[in-house]
Amino acid sequence: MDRSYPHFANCATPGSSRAFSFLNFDLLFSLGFGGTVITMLISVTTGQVGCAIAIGLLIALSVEAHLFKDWYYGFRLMCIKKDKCIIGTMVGKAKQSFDGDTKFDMLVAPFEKDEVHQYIINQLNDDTDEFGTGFTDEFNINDLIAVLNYIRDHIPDEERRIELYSRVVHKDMFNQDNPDPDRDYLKHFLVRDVDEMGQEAFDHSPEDRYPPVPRTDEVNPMYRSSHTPTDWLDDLTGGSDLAETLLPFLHCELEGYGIGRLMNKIIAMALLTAAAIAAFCYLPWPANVIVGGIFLLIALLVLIFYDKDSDDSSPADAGLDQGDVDREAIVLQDDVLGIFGNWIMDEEHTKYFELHPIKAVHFILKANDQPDVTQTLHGKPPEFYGVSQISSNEWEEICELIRISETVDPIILMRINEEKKYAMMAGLA
Amino acid sequence: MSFLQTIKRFLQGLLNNFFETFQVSKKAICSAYTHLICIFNKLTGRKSPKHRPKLDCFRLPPEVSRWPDPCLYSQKYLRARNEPVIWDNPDIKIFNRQSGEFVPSGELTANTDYSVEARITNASFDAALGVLVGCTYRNWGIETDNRQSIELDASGNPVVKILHIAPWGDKLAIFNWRTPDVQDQHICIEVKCYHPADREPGNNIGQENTTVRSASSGSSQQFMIPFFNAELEDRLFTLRADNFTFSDKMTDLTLREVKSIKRSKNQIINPAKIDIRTHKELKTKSGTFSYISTPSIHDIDQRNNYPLSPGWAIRIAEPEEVGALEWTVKIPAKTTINLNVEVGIPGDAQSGHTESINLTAHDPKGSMTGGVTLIIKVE
Repeated sequence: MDRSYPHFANCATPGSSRAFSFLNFDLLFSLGFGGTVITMLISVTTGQVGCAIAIGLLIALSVEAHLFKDWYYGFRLMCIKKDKCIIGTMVGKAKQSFDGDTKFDMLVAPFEKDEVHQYIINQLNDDTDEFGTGFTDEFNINDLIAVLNYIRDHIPDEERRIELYSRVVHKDMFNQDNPDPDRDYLKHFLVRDVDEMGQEAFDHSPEDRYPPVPRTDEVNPMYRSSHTPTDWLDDLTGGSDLAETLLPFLHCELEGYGIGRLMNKIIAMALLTAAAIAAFCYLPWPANVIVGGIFLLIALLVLIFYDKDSDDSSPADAGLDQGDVDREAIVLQDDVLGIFGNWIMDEEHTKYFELHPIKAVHFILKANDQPDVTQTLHGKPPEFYGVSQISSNEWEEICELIRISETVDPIILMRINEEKKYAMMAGLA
Repeated sequence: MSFLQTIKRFLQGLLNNFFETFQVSKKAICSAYTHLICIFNKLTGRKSPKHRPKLDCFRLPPEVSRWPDPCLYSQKYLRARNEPVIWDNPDIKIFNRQSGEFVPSGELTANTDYSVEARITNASFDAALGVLVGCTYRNWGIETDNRQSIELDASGNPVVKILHIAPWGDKLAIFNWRTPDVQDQHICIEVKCYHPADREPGNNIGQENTTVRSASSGSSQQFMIPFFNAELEDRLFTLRADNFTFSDKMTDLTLREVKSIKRSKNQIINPAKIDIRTHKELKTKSGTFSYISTPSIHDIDQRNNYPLSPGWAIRIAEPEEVGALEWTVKIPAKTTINLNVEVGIPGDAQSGHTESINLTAHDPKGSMTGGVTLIIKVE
């Protein structure tokens, strides 16, 4: 069964995915050679060189935009594994970014936020030679803002930040020397594992060795954090999309179509403008003004109205019907979620590893929500269930159920007795 | 080398030189682009990408949000939909831990170890993960108070079971219980489940509230049923009796495409739905599907379709009888009264016949308050 979900990008097989380059051969060819050829042809035919150059460049620009869109949605993401499941705590705030995607970041189970905060604090306090700059007081878990600011302001060196987080991930969360199978079940999302990734994806992703230094372009951690350096695509899309948190996390994205819409607009605008120029240059008066004016008017309408109300990622972006919404599902920081999606590596953003697109979000625990199901007169019961209690077996059970929900066809005919009918009545039409 | 390849190589070299000569980086180009976009956004009144807020809370698109429906046989939910109810709950069963035998809730003994099994069903296409289940008991009767947890942990805290349930599947939450050392073991058991994304939270509480008697034909049986008014004001309750029990009838459910489904009285019902892009057996492209029952389970008001068996009679001493098998009784605020109920067994009642009489109370607004089932086996 394939359930409906917002989906625009397809990942490419390891080896065929690629980072964007302005020197990319096909793009250059389309802009330079294609534009030049078109210009030359029009110039030779009509003798009006200026118009021909403009038209040629606009057509080349439209081809360029098409190729960029093709790369962005077809070759930017490297497939690792389809239909993967994680359980984790949402950290930081969700962000809807320029490209239409909505992003949120997950601390993988069974780790609780405070546990990992403490690892970071311990590393900072324990190795002042590596990370210290003369602070007299030790950091503590009650002042996480100070820790966050300290890392941002006093550890500007990228290698030292990666050293800090690598110690937390490779030594504290997943102790290489003393592995704990009951807590390591999601390790492969933060530390490379050839068995989990498959040989091809492993071979085509950067090494994440510990110790991480000396760091080169070929060495890059799998996890992300707020302190991950930004790159050109972050600038393009309005700053880092990562959560503001101390914690190392797995990045997850719901797909939108912002870049696709932008490229569509560029293509339409370029072609309409080229048509208007052609009309002005080559049609006799007054047909040139009328036809050219019509094309310009259409271009203006496209500029103003196409995509006018689609600033953010939403089901409407995906062309999906919202009429069947039963209730809105609100995701908050600290919610514990089961997320199902494709595991990929983004060739941009200094190689993100992500679940992208997210195909399903299953709530397991809501933040600060411990209902009293025992209804006693003794008040609310103590906290009885947390992400740290999710064992390896339980994770397998949960993920198997998610897999069944998302991939197994529901049976077409079901026969139930009266007891079941009354118990399940709310679900039946 | 072909002509095209030569041109391509030439252009590549040219641009390489351009980038190197003028130190133009991708970052600089994108920065310039971003500024242009900002100017455009200001002119057209759009949000700048730089000023997109991070979201304190985020509304998931419906296509990716999942809504399980953990539920059990819930008298309150069913009565709110005019369905008949029985207080011998099919989803709550008690077993003697030593013998493993099933024990009706009206036949418990003091100081004995039992296990209470609560069956939680997931009436949804989405898995129900991390369902919390609690179980309490209280004195037998209608809406009696003083709920106590069935099972406590070593620290004295109520035990809560965690279940993960497959779509349209069910699971048991099993509680261990040692009955208190009191003579009257007549109790009501209540089970409640919870999920943070419950599609229908109204069907999460079920009660087991019965008493079982054996009696000879032609005799009458007396029952004293405590009835508690939990509110801070006097209330006039309506009591109704029927003999609804589960039949052997089976219901067929078919997965069908739905747009919107209407039930009688123009009420929209809200069944579990699934957005499918492809389905092998249905050979469908895409659509929203739901299980539709045949015949419809929503169209018939069955309240008055279950009179007592011929010859059986029920009398309640003080309440005013206002109709066939219907009485009203006024109870002061926060007060318990005892209803004296007499059931008359016909002389020609067959040995082995079992009559289940459900007494269900409703408050002045028509909401169900509680009830009991009297099970009488003819000797």
